[in-house]
Amino acid sequence: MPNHAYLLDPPHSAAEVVSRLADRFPTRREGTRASARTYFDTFDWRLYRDAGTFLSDALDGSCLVRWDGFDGRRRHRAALPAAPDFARELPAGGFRDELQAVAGVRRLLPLVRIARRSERVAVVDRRDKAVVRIALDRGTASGGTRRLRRLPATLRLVPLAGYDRHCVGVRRFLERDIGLAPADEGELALALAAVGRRPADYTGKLDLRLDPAERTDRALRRILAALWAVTQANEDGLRRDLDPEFLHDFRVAVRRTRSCLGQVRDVFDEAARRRFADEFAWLGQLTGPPRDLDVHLQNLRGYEAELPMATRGDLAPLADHLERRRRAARGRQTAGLDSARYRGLQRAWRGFLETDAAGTGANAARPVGETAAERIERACARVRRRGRALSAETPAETVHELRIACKKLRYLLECFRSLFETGRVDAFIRALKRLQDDLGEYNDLQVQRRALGDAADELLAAGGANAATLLSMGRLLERLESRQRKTRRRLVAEVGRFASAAEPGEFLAARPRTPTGRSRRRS
Amino acid sequence: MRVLATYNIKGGVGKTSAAVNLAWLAAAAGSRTLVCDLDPQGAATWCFRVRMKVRGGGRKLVRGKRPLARFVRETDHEGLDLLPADFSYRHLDLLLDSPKYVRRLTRRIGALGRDYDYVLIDCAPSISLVSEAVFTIADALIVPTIPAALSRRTLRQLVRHLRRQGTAVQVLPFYSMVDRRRALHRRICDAPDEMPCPMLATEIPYSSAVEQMSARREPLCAFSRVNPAARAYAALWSEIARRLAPPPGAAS
Repeated sequence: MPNHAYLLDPPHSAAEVVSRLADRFPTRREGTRASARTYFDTFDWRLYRDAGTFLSDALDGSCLVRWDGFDGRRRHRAALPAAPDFARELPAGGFRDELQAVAGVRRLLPLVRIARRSERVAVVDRRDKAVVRIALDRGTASGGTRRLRRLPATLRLVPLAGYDRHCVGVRRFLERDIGLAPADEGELALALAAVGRRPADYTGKLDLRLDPAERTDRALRRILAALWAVTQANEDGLRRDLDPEFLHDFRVAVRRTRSCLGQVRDVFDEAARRRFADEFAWLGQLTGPPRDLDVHLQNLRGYEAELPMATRGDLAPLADHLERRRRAARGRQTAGLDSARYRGLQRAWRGFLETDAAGTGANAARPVGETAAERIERACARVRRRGRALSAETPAETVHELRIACKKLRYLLECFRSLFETGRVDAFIRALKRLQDDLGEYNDLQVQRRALGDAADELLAAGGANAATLLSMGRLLERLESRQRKTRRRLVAEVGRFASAAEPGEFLAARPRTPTGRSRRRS
Repeated sequence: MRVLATYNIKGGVGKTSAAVNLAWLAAAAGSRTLVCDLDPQGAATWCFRVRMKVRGGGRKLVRGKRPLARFVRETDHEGLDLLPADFSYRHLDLLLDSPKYVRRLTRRIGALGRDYDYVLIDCAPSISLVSEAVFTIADALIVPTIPAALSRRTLRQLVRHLRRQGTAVQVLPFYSMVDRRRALHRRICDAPDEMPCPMLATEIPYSSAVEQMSARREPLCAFSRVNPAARAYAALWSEIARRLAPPPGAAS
């Protein structure tokens, strides 16, 4: 059952409301409670987007962690010594499994802290049993870069299950007789607003509305600026190694940028385009090894679980070795991000994105709808050509090239998605994604097999491997090979299906979409 | 979800006091907790100040089609809900005249319990078809036992009955209303080998504060945490939580 909140703006005051309530209903004062609450979510708001809030209420020396739905339904709660940093840190059970399904490997970051004093009044029945609770809240919020901010005084109506009729009566009294207006926003939104944020203020996805008639140079610059915003938003989390997805989102934005620069040519000055393409390629190479090791370590945990219980510990030296390599790769990555080269790229790229100068290429003034359709068609033809050539004997390098071609097509589709009819382009992206999942798995297995071989050599050379570890690594290698063979078989069938069935013409031929705002103005 | 039932064939041994206080302690520790009051006397319902009424009575409880959640009342204590008793529960046995209805009641309470971490069933004294249904659904029977010869005898009857029936429910008996000034209480409490099954280590002392619960209409632990009996209930809850067998399929 949802809570009903009312802002206590003048002329209404808490004292006046309580006094009028007591005149109308039997009430019981339940004292004042001080509480400290922290809301958490992942950086990309996975819990909020799943229509829920995750919070921790401080208790004496411990905390009560609650995961509730927007509809007020309690999903889970648990008393813990401290709020978990990751879903996997919760005790085994439904809470952990369900939260992990939504938050995945992402860290639960504190969004906003609320310190509150609540004066509680219960409306009671003739047994002196509370049938509705009223909480009069005063408090402060802190979070982000802002210091303590005072929250608006609110009155919360807390319904109790089984006493709906009473709640309706009290609500009617508050709204009709006293004249309180229900607050438009909940506690989280109010607290976020106080610290200068709003819910779901970050997404790794491109959320742009492009106009097909817009000049290509202008539209492309908007896309590149949005991608740059994603890299910059993730940089801090990536540097602090908060969770692997910061690096992942950073890399995806970099790859999308490279894809735009590489595939939509003849728009900007060629020398500048080439220079930036080289710099973003360097950024991709800098962040590649830590990402590969992140994936390898994540998969290793899954593989370990598949091994017989008695031999699971044998892979610990491998996990330690990979962790050491990951730390070293992260160190090199941080050095790269601290370098003059990266600072130079930041400065120059910002300058490039902020300029209003028209592009000098032949495609600069073309409507972006036309340019995008042409580039997508070409990228799609490349995927189909490479896909048709795929067979069970195709070398892994060629499969990798097909994977890269698919990625380039996918990035183009996602960057220019808003130009086309959403339903059709999304169906095409879904089909492509299925194919990419198989290609990605095949490639990951290839990379991991190679990395496992290298790790065995390095462990032997360093004297850090015993026979049990090497045997388990051998078993793991066998598993990876067998899985790769299965993926390969599936892949050939999937590529064939995609090459023959997926027709980009369907959505490319459809009339490019005009942004809603613009068409309304025209009419 | 773990289902615990406070049960004894004998009456007046502290079943309701245990159910009410253990449920309060579970909820205070952050677990979503439900008390199902199946005793037509409705003492647990009384202690939570809830009206002793279930619309449609025992018939709707056992044979109704709509979920039991609609009968649930939120108590004055956070995280603690109550399925109240109804005086018609005195005829509950008559409604369970076929195994079909025993299974249905089991299923209905099971479905209701999915929203909770702990369900505590406060049973009426006696051994009946309702008890049989409770033995099926409960993970553990919490059996308050007064250190007296008759109580020891009824505990033996219960253990023997469960063994004969092949019921897998865990039995967690504890000494209740212990007055160590009495020689008999001391003798029985200090001779655990004479009991028909292992007793929990925590004893609940006899206390007039426990009796005050019915006058104040709230759990003892809610109004006096320092009282020796309240502290004993807290220790009992910790011991029960430790002793509960892990649910089937739980990760080690």
